[in-house]
Amino acid sequence: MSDAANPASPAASNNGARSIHTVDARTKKRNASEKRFKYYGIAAIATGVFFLVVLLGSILWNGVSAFQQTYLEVPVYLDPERLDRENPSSATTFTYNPLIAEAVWERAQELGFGDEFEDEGGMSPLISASAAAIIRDRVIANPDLIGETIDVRILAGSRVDGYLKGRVDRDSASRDRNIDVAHLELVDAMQENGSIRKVFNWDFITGTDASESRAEQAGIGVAMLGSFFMMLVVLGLSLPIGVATSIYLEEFAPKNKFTDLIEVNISNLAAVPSIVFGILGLAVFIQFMHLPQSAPLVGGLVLTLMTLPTIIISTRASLQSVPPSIRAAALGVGASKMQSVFHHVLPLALPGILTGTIIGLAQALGETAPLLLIGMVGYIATNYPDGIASGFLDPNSAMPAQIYEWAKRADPAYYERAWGGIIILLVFLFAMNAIAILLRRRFERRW
Amino acid sequence: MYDTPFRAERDVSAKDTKIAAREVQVYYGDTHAIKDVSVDILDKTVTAFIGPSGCGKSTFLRCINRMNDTIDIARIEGLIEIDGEDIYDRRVDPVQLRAKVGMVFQKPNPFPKSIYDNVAYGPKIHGLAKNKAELDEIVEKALRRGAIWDEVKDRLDAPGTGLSGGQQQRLCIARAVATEPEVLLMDEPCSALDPIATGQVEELIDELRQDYSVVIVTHSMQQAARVSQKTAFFHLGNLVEYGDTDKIFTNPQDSRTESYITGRIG
Amino acid sequence: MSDMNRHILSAFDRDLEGIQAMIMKMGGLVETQIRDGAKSLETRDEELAEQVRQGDKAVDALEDSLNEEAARVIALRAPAASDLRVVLSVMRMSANLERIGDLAKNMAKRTSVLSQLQPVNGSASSLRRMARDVELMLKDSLDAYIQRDAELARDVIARDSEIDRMYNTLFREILTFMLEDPRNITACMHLHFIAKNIERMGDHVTSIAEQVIFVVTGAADDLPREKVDRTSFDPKYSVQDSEE
Repeated sequence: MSDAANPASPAASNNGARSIHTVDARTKKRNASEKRFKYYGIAAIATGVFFLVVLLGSILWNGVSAFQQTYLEVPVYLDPERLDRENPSSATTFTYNPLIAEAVWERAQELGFGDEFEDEGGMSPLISASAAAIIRDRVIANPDLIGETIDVRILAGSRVDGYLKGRVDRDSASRDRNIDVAHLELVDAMQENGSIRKVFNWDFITGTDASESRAEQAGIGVAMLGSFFMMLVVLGLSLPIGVATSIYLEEFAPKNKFTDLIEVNISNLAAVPSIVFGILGLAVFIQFMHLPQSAPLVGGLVLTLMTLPTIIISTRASLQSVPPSIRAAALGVGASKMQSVFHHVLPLALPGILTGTIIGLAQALGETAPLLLIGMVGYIATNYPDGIASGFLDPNSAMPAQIYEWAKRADPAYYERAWGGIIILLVFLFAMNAIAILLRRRFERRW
Repeated sequence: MYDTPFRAERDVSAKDTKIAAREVQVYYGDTHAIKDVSVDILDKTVTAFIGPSGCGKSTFLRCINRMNDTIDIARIEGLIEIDGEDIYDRRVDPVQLRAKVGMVFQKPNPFPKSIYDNVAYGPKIHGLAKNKAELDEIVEKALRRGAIWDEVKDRLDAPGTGLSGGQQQRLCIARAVATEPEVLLMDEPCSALDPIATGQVEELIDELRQDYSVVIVTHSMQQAARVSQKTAFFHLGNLVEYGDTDKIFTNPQDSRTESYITGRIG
Repeated sequence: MSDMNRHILSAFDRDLEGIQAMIMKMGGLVETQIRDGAKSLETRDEELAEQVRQGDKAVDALEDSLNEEAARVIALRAPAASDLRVVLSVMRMSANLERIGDLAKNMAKRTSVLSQLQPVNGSASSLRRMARDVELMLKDSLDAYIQRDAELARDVIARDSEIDRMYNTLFREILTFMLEDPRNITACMHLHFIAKNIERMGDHVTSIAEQVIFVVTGAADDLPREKVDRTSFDPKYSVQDSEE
């Protein structure tokens, strides 16, 4: 490819004039290599697109089913002899469990499955352990229901759910202590009859985490709130601190060894593994400052540390992209340094700053490792935080940590929920990136 | 010598000194950018700084409104006085100085705001207007001075960046005069403009001479010849020659000036 | 050009050198015109006189193209300082040379007439000497121009008073001839005009020498020059001289 290696001699052709109608060997070679390079590029992009499609495809394939949940629809007779109308909360879920089991047993008998199962006790694999609590809550809210037969939608057991979603089949059920093949026959019949149905699973989006054995009840809602409060902390701290730092470093700080050192360190911080921030948070915020463990406040603080370099770097880049002529113009008409920054430079840099901030937040939203270290993981939340303060201070989880936790659990139903959680997380990330792009489009100025 | 009317117009011998520089030295780090420059710049006169790139003419211009303060490594020695007051005195706030010494830059650099806001910004931050009506008046006056009023009076809310290059530069001049400066510094104000726009800006500069002491840095010797009454030739940080423009362009005394003006390899 | 650095734009150098070469060529042509004119007068050579009259066309043509070139250089190169002075001086010099050419032609024309008349004693050789001096002055001023030699130019200017003196002597001489013999009057009138022409040539050469000083110093030469001899203004001779 070296031009010098092949000295073209124009004198060789007619009258020293080279025709541009005949392509010479060197040009051919050059064109060929250019074409080759183009194909390499296309191949690289195609590979990338292929993997992206595979990734998204597998996420959707595995995760979409989490958004549907199987329910039993049977009339439950709320026996007034076993339930106290005057004091409905005196009856525990242990009282309700047989009521539900009887209702399902009745339906089973109607469908001619009386022989396979001895009594209503055989129905328990079909019913979620949390079903009783749901009915109990309803009765406590409205004690007049006692003595009536109500049509309720009862959460089906996770094996039933798995069967309807194809996770469980007769072969695996035969080896499963929790469910028998006979149950599956019953489920088939009930499905035909309409008393077992798959419906859209709002509880997965809004619900709380559940225990190891109640995969069917688990939702990501509380973890979402945890993430939300964390993001509030991150936004509230890292945006002002990051922007102030950037403005100072970019516009005011003298350029000397010390500020150089700070700059290098900020760049380095951006490359520090997030787990390091986690252990730092554990040591400083929890062990030294004794802030509550597992609280979104602490998670937010740790993520703030992690997000700051991103925000500082992107803010400085967008400050730098404001043409110096604007600063000169402001100074030229007698604006002070600060006026020039706040009246002219910052408004022009704002879209870039916001974009950087949102991308930083998106990064923080998806971060798991530091949360593991400060305990924002595991089976933590059972209830929604009541109020803002508890939102910040009560132990909670975060979406990625919740997903990690689910993925760890043995029940394959949780595996499905982990994928579902990832879909929700991705939706959030896409939404945030879309907002970033929109902001940039909207506020981008030409000068 | 016979005095033609146009010669009388160019005669600046009766003008007062506005800016007096004495033995000014500028260092950028270890680089000695301006060496021992002493010059008297007259009031109500256009003074052109010419010289090859890197000769220090822009640097010296930026000393006059202390724009070099914004460069950390710049160090200035010597004395620069405006109306007899040392501008590097410790009591001088550069912000106040820059209200008195306006500046127009090489590239038209209107703020990405409306035409009105561009001009109104200076008066606003200096508190020159008590109310909106007064501000309107200042803006109109400045735009008229900038010889652009007729072109923009119907669209004061339009962005200043939407104007043509020449209009933008005149807007910048209007912005600079809006703060009622006494000295106008122009750093190659026409280098980004086409000849027609350049002509308009030059005409404007000639008009501004009635009220201001104008100092213009230019790479175009023809421009210096067209608009200025006094010309200073800088070379390698030295002020080689300073004198009446017609003298510099017909009969320079220094061979370096001669070489530069006639386009020779100096 | 030799004492100056080259222009960054070499075409500019070529242009300036071109017009200066043209002015030198024109100068050489005019020198020949003077010499031949004077020679034809002395030798009463009508053929040579005719040649001189024809030769003026070439001088005029050269002046036209020189002015054109100079205008082109001004328009395209925007000369300043010394370059501007070169162009200006070339334009002025070409005008002077053209006038000298005209005067030489006029001399040749009168020579044709004179050769038909009775020769007047001695005056022709005086005129020839005078023409010779002017020719030398012209040569020196052109040399001064090429060498940018202001001293030589000043010398040429100083020598013009010698020409003036010679003219005045001739003036008296011719006057005497006319007083002696009225039949000489026609010839003497022509001789006087020729003398006057040569004296005018001297003035134009002086002007060329002044251009040399202008090119070199950038200022018009302001040396005081007095008329050493005011014969032609002496009422004793009662001749009105409209020029000078």
